[in-house]
This record gives sequence, C-alpha cells and structure tokens, in this order.
Amino acid sequence: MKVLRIAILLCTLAGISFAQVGNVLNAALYQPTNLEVLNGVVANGAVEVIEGFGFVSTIAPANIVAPRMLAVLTYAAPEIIASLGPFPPAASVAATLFLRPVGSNSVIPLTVTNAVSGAITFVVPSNFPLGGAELLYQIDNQPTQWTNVNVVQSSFEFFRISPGGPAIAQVPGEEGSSGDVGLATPAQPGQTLLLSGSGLGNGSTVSATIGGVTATVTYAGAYPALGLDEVLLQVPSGVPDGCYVPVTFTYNKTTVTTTISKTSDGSPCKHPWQLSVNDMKTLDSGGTLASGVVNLSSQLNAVTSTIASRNESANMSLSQIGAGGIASYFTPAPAVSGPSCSTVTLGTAGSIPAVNGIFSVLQPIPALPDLGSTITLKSPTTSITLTGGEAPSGYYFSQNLPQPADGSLDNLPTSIPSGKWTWQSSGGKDLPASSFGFTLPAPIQLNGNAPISMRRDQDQTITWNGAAFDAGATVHINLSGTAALVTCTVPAGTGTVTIPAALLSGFAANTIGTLTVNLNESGSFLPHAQFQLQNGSTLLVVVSFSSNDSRAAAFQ
Amino acid sequence: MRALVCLLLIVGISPAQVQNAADVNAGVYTTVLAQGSLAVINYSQVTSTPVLSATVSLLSANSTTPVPAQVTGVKPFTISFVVPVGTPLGDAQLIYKPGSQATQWTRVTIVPANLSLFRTGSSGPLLAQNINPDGTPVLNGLTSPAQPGQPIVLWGTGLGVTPQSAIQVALGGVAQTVLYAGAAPGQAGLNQINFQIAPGTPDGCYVPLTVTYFSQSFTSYLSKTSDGLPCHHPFQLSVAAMKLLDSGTSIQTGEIALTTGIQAPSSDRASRQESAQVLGLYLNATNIANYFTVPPSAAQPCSSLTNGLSAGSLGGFDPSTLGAMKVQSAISTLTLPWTQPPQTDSTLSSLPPPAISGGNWTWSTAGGANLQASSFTFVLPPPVQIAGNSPLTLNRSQNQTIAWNGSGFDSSAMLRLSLSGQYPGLSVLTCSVPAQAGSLILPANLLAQFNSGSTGSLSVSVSETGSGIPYAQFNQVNGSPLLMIVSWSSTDARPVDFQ
Repeated sequence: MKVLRIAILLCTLAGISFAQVGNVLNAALYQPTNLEVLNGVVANGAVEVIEGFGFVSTIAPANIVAPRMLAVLTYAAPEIIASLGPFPPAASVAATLFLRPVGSNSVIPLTVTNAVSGAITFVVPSNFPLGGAELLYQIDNQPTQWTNVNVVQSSFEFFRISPGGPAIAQVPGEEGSSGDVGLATPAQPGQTLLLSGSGLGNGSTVSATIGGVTATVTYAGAYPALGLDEVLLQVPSGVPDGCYVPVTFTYNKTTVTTTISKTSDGSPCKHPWQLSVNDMKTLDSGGTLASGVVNLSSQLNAVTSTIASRNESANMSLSQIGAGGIASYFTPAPAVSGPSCSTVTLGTAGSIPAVNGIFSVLQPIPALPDLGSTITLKSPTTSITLTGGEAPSGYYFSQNLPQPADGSLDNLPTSIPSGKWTWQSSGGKDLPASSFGFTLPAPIQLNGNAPISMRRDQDQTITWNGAAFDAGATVHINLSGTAALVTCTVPAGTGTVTIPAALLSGFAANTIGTLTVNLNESGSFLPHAQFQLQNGSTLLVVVSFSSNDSRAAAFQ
Repeated sequence: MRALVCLLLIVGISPAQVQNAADVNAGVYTTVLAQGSLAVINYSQVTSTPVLSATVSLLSANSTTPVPAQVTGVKPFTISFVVPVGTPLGDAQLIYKPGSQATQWTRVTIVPANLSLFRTGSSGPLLAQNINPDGTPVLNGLTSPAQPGQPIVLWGTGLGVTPQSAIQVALGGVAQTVLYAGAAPGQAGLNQINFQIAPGTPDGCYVPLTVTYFSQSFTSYLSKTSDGLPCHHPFQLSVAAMKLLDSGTSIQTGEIALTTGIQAPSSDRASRQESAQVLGLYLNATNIANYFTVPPSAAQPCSSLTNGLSAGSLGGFDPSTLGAMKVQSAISTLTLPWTQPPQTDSTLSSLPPPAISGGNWTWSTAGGANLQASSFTFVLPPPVQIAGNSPLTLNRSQNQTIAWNGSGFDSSAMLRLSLSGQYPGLSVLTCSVPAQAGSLILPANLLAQFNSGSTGSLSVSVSETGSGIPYAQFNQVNGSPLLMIVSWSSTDARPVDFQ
C-alpha cells in the first residue's frame, strides 16, 4: 500500500509535465473511495488504520460525456489525514471549469454543483457541440489544468445502490410523495417507477423491459435538478415476482441493465436466500448482515494428456454484507441465453483509475461473529477442515487438501466431489455448534485430450460434462493466443459451445495458446443457510463453488 | 490482508516468467528463446519443501510429444535449462516441473538466434574479460580498460547455429577482428565471442560496442584506453571512485533536480510550474553508465508508442547530511532540499520570467555532518517554449512542423516530444531530436491514427544528456567520494485539435 501510494504520488508529480491529470465520468458511475486496511488483523472493535484514495472502480469509458450530463472530474488532490474516524470529510474547494470545443478558441463556463478536494461535479451544457473538447479546470486559484474529453450524443447510466447493482428506484405517490423500492417494499403491477440517472443527452429513442415484458416508458429525459435524467417506467402485468427482476433500458441503440424488486401485491419479496422481512428491511435501510462465504475451487491444468494436475482450495471468509453485495450474486450474467462468443481487443479495455485524494483514517472495525475454531466440510468421501478463523481473523482456510500433483488427464481425483455435503461449525460464543447440508456439482471437465487442436478455418465445437450442472451454472470460455483473445459465455448445462471460424481466424497458424473454461454458480442456485446469532442478528452463509479446466491449445 | 491471502490461494501458481540467462542481472524478461540458448524460468514455489530438482521440456505447436531439455541449475524459484537445438522454430509450450510440484507451462517462441551478452545492467557494463599477454583474464572496467591489440572475451547466449563468418564486432565504430564466435567449450548453452582491439579504436569509459549477426545486433559498451590506464571519466570521477564502481560498490550522489515547465490550456490561461530539489542517491556502475549510454541520448524518429513504464531501484541517503544547500543565479535563489516557486495563471505571451532561467548558477552548502562548506558552478540552458499559440492545431492529412526556441541549447540537450490522443484511441506518438534543431516534423502517416475532430495533448521535454550534465566531485568528511550532478528538465505542454 505504501509503495502504491508513493507510486501514485510519483505519477502525480510526473503528470505535472503532461497536464493529463484529471479524469471525467458520469456522476452515476462515480464511487468516491476505495479503502484498504493497513495493519491487517486487529482485535474486534479495536481502532485500525485505514488508508484509501479515490478510485473509480467501475469499468467504464473515461472522459466520455454527453450534453446535460452530470459529470465528475477527479484529479490528484492533497492528502487528507483524519486522526479518528469516521471517514474524513472532503474539504470544499473553489473550482472554475470551462469546456472548449475542438476547433474553437473560446471556452464555455460550466455550472459546478459540488466541489470537494479531488472531485468536482459539474453539468455539461445542453447545447455543447459533439466531438472532441478540452475541460479546463482551475482549483483554488492554482494554475489552470486541462483534460481531453469526448462529447457524445448520449452515455447513460442509472444511479445504483452499488456498482452494477440494483438501480435506486422510487414509486411516486400522491401530492409529490414517493416511496423507495426495496426488498421489503417492492414495486407492483400498474405502478410507475421513477429511476434516476444521467447522460441521456438531448433526446433519445428509448424502450424498456421489466422481467422480459415490455414496459411503457412514460417519460425519459431531463429532471428538474441540473444534469439529472428521470426515467418513468410503468410496471406491466405479467411480470414475474422477484427480489431481483431484470430491467433493461435501451436508449438509442445502447442497453443498460439493472434489477428491481417486484411482487404482485407489494408485500415483501420472497428472497431467493430466504432472508426474513426484518433482514430485508435492514438491508433496505442501508444496514448489513453478518456473512460467511465458503469458497470451494477446483482447477484442472493439462498441457498434455499425460501431464495434468488438479489444484483445489477451500476457505471461508467472514464479513458484513449489504444490499448491494447480496444483489451482486443475482445480477444477470450477460449473454447466458445462448452461445455467445466475441473477440476481445487486447490492450484497450478497462477503466482509468483516478487519484482523488489520499486518506488516512483511524476507524473502529465491525466485530465479526465468533463461530468457533473449526469449520468442517464433509461429503461421504471427503472431510475438509477449515481453521484459523477465530476472532478477530474471520478467515478460515484448509490445510488438509492435497497439493496438486501430476497425473494423467483421465485419472485426476478430486477432493471436492459432486454430491451431498455438510457444513459444520464447532461452535463459538456467537453461534453454538451448527450445520446445514448442501449439494455441489461435479468439477467441470472438457472432453478430449490435451493439447487441444483448433482448426482456424472451421467452426470448432468445445464440449464438457454439461449434464452435471443446474440452470444457475454459467461457463465462461477464454481462448487466448499470442495476439488474440476470444471469450464466450454459455449456460453450463448446455455442455457445448461452438467457436465460429470467423473468430478463430484471428489466431495465427501454427501457434499455440490456452483454452480455459470457468464454471461459476450464481444467484438462488448458490447453496446458502441462515443462522441466528446469540445477539439475535442473522448470519448468512453462502457456498461459492468454482471450477475450471485449462489446457494447452494448438492452432492449425 | 485477508483478501490478499484469499486471492493468492484462489489464484494458485502464477505464470512463470522466462529470461535469456544473460539478461538475469538486467532484469529483462522475454518470451523469445533461441535454439541452443541458456534460459531461466522464474516460477512460484507453492510448498515449503526445498526444490532440489526439476524437469523441463518443450512442446512445439504441431506436436504432442514434448522434447526434454537439459536442466543446468535449480535454485529456489528459478530453473536454468538449455533450449534443445532441435526444437522446431515457432510457438512452443515450455513445460516445467519443479521438484514434486505439479507441472506447469507457459508459452514461448523459438527462434534461430537471439543473442544477449552477460552484463550487470540493462545495457551494461558487460561481464567482459581483457586477456593479458600471459593469458590471465581481467574483468573489463573503468580502471581496467581494454588496450589496443588485446584480445577481449564476451560471454553470452543465444547465437544458435550462427556461423562465425556471420558475426561482426564494432567498438567505437571501428570494425574489430573476430577471433572466435560460437559455443563456449564445456559450458552448455553459453556462447563466447573473442575479438582483438583494432588500431584506431577510440578511448573512453563507455565506448559503444555492437555485435551484429545476420540482420540482428546487440549493443553495449566497453572501457578502452590506449595505454591500459584508467579511463578519463566524463564526470571526472577519481580513480578511487571508479575502483569503487568496478568493485560493485555504489557511490553517494547528490542529484539536484531542477524542473521548469509551461502549461498552456489556452493562450490566455498559461502558467509556469517549477521546482528545485535535491535527492541523495547511491549510484552503482550501471546507474552512472546509464547517463551516457541509454536513450534519450540518441535521436529517435517519430513512432507510435506502446504505453509502458520502466522501473529502476536506487538506494538513497538523507541529503540533509550535506548541510543547508541552495542553488543561486543572478536573479533567483532556491533553497534545497525542496523549493516550488509560486504558480499562477497568465497569458502565454506574458508568462512570468522563469525562476530556473538559463545562465550561470552556483550550488553551495554551508556544510553538514558529511561535507564541509562547498560549492560549484554550472550553466543551464533557457526553458524550452513551443512557437505559436494554444491550443495547437494539427492537420492530420499533412506533415506538421513543431518549432521551439532551439538556438538556446547545446548539442547535449535532447528534446522528446509526446503527442497523445484521447480515449478510446489512446494513441501516443513520440519522437526525440537534438533540442538545438529547433523543429521537427510529425509525419502525416502517423498523425492519421488520431481521430479527426478530436483533441489531444502535445508535450515537449528537454533534458541534458551525457557530458552535457553539470557535475562536480567532492570528498566527504569520511574520505568517501560524493558526486553532485544537475538533472535539469524543461517542458511545454499544450492541448491539440486534430483536423
């Protein structure tokens, strides 16, 4: 962390000579901070040192804005140090911003709606010409700096409760009142949903679906507040109930996805993890639940059919989880409805993190529940013991899984076999000895030998043990070579995917690469259980199983 | 911490990194290996059990049978091996098994030849041997230069089956007589290139060396004098200081970093941003050689750049042990270890005069724990300034000329130009030219990669290189040498409209 911090400071200094020190993004995507615990494990409830710096964690194109967009300029800001938590308040600064369109010598002053050290929120003028532009900014009478931006017709995003999570939604009531949509207060058929966002620009062709059913967009456009957009959707009949009902909103030819909670009568949704209404109310109000995530991983590597190995791990991590964290398990995976392969252009993806002040803060850490010294995972043929998680660690790990060893591809035993399993805790001061049962699928395994021969002039079909998987399992395929990367995402149960020759031709003949299939369970298919802790609060335990098969590939 | 541990456990073994064995000290990694070369795998060790043995093999693209390689050494986290001479050219899986760990693999490309010479830094100094008349070898160094007529032995790997007749050696631009080039007898995977110092080879501490084989070449440098006495160092280091460097010891160096930059978002919003600081560094033979041997000391034509960062590690010392320091000109006095003159907006045509201006300067210290009161004088060039207004307009369909105040610079000052576009293009174009040229041309074919109607940024940066770097040497209270050098740089950065 210290090294990283120094590196960032050096980058900041280096930036002085090149001016490109600021980044701009849609305010709906802005995440103010990323915190890092410096001193690792400390006692429950003790004060620990946390450092952080503003960091745009969302994968989003940087420096793309639209007319009327509420945007945030992030820039390298001085270090802020708070001796004791809570999180240090951002200091107000005086900021003057201008935009200059390409080809013009005159600048247009911008409306600044909020200005704190490291992050300036501003509104892009509605009549600003599309194309390249420079954002000039002067902070606290320091010399004017600039950063390049690209003004596009529209670049919309919803405000969400967490990155990529459910949109913040309301149901407008009579006389201007409104109610928040949440797990305990879902939307109902016939109601109009109000979702806020930014970046629609000046007029867009819009459409929407809720739960796959076309929803009427009664309004999509400027909100009375500067820079914001308002989207009003009517909840149609026929939408299935759920806590995480998919919503698509298409503007021009771009689609943004999110989820909402919806039931037929407005009563609390039936949570796929059977959370109680009280717990859902806690989450809706911004609270958190104690959680324990059991991570089971089985990885197969095979360079030839006689040189293969299986690398397996098991652990459990205790923490607190909020509404956004739980929702992330239910966010619809892209393109799971059918085989979908695409080429990833190497070297151009990703977000551009922006330094946004550096923080040092002393802050009490939340106490983690004491479940006892040992967690045991048992199947009829295997017993995995997890230890080391007593308070204040909260991290249980296995020391009795075998180290990976070479074997032949057709005879690689697994310590995490499919079938019935039991989770057992030894019991601690917050939870007596407890257990629950769950079922795991088999580790994924490609059919055929290694290396895998891939013809570049024909569609190539990859198959695996698909019958082993339920509808919640998704397979991500990565085929990488020297200068190309093809990815596909399909439901694991299909057991097969065809990579089109058009994509395979991007690999050079007589070169080699790696084919990897990654299996993940998601949503309601994740094994889970709830326990009541001694203090009456809820402990949510989730089993996250992943497996992959990675093989050498030869392109013909 | 918890998350980190979790991540490491989930990720498991990270992919190996591969090196030509001659590049290990230089910290250079590759995926290209020559047939018959000595290479090194750097792998992650996942057990606490010591790894005492390893196997390595290569599986070529069109084969299902790996070819075993000779393993020459196994150390914690590294395996040395010889690429089998018969490995087919092209892509191959490098398969390795450390001890009882599971087998891993990584992708490499096999080529006929890819020479690298053993050295201690990115470009040198070479681990070269001067052969005395009695046959004894002496490591080439600043205090042990090569002499005319003396045989020199270069050690490397990666020549493959390149015949001796295809290998040329030039030192200081003078062709040398190659006595032998090929496999080093009894040393699996190693190559030896022996040559004799030719008449007319220039003297110097860093005489450029080029080994050419077919259309490829490897460049480095050697120390050479006419009489075999220590070379005359361009920083005028004493023989004692050079002996310290030759023995692998670092010498304390105070680097006075002076920066002056113009930032002009528009012609009526420009500023001058300057700073002065002193850094206490320990520099070894490689670090000091880099001032004279690595780019940007040479002109580079404009080219598209793949973004990347270079890293180095230099130890440091507290410069306050040298006492209260300042740098002073006729119009400015800047206190060290750190000064940043005030910065404010003004117009580009009426920027405030630079605090770090061209002309005569003096560094001085009142004396401290490690150094008595001392001073030295040096001369700085004027700050660089691009001709014209801001923003700059660049026509993508024609060659574009960028001009600056070139007449103020000496022949050692190099200008580096960077032209960047905006997301999603992320195009970057760079050039290096002598600053005194006063102008350079951006070719239309490179400008065409930027989007019409987009904006970008153009920055020029001038710094002194090699013998143009001001320096002085002092003896510290404890008798050890102290090298003082002035690292001056000047920039001008402006927005660009692409048309």
